[in-house]
Amino acid sequence: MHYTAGGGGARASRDGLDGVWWTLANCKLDSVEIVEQRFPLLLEREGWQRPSAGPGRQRGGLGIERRLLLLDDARASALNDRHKLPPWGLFGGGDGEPCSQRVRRGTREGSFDELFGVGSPSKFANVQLERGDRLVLRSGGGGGYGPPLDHEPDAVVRDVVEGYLDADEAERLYAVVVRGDPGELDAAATADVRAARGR
Amino acid sequence: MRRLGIDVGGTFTDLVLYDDETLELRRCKALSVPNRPEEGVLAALAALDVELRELDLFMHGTTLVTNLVLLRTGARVGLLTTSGFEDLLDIQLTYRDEPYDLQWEKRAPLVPGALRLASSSGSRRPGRCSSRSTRRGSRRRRGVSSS
Repeated sequence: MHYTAGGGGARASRDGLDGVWWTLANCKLDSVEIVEQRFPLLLEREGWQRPSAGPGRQRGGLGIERRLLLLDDARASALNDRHKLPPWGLFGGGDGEPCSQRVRRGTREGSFDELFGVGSPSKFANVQLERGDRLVLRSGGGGGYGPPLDHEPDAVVRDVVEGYLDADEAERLYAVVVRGDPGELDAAATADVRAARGR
Repeated sequence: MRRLGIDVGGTFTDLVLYDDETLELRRCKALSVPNRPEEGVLAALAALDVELRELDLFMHGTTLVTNLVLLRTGARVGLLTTSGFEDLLDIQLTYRDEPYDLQWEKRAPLVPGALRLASSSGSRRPGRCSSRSTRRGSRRRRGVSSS
């Protein structure tokens, strides 16, 4: 059984929470070592899905990506939502990235529907997987709240420094210009870019 | 057997000495000295007037690390971790301490993202850490080694 927490929706006065449970509020993330000792799986990555957060005056939370290598044959069943229609933004905020779960077998890569014809990328039962298959399981990001160009520039810089998005994404999504490494605000350039986009 | 236990807390350093042949129990308490935890230990030992060479066991515990994690008053540190798992310190338990509080915020990670570095992406056995030596790596961590 595998659960992945996702990004919370942006709140009216705060960003959405990154990688938390909303519907199953008392679930915790299993440790990588415990998962690997109990199941024939090798975890190759467990990290933020970047940039999955819906932009907004307050942004949505980040989703999580888990990459698995199957060390034995296994059967997979899934019951998920928000694979086709993303978590939506409100009052000018952008959508978060949708959820996805993809399989790679040899040179073939795609959703469970594309590889196995199960009729849905997110809801299926008893798909036979093989040793050596790789799975990429991504939970969605939360939707944003309010126009992204109203997002506090310093908060965007903090997100760049923390590694939640890069400088290009900061300029494209929020019209905030971040220079250097790990990143500082270019206030004058930010004002120019925001003015050019009608702020 | 004479056993001595010491606990260095943020305010007091407590010491207990127990002799399980005579069943004698002695204890004392000294003030802890901020940033110099050994001084409180030595003061407590002096107050109890005990010779270290007469002891069979010396046990040492402290809440200083717990306090440091809670108060965030320690040195600026970085984290080297298995490639692919640099975000885990930030992801934490995916758990909300206050499930019904919509304004709840997660704690900031003990090490910020720019100071969490990946080791080389050597092959890893299930349930184990990478056995390869660490090396600077991941794409978004460039240029942080000097900080």
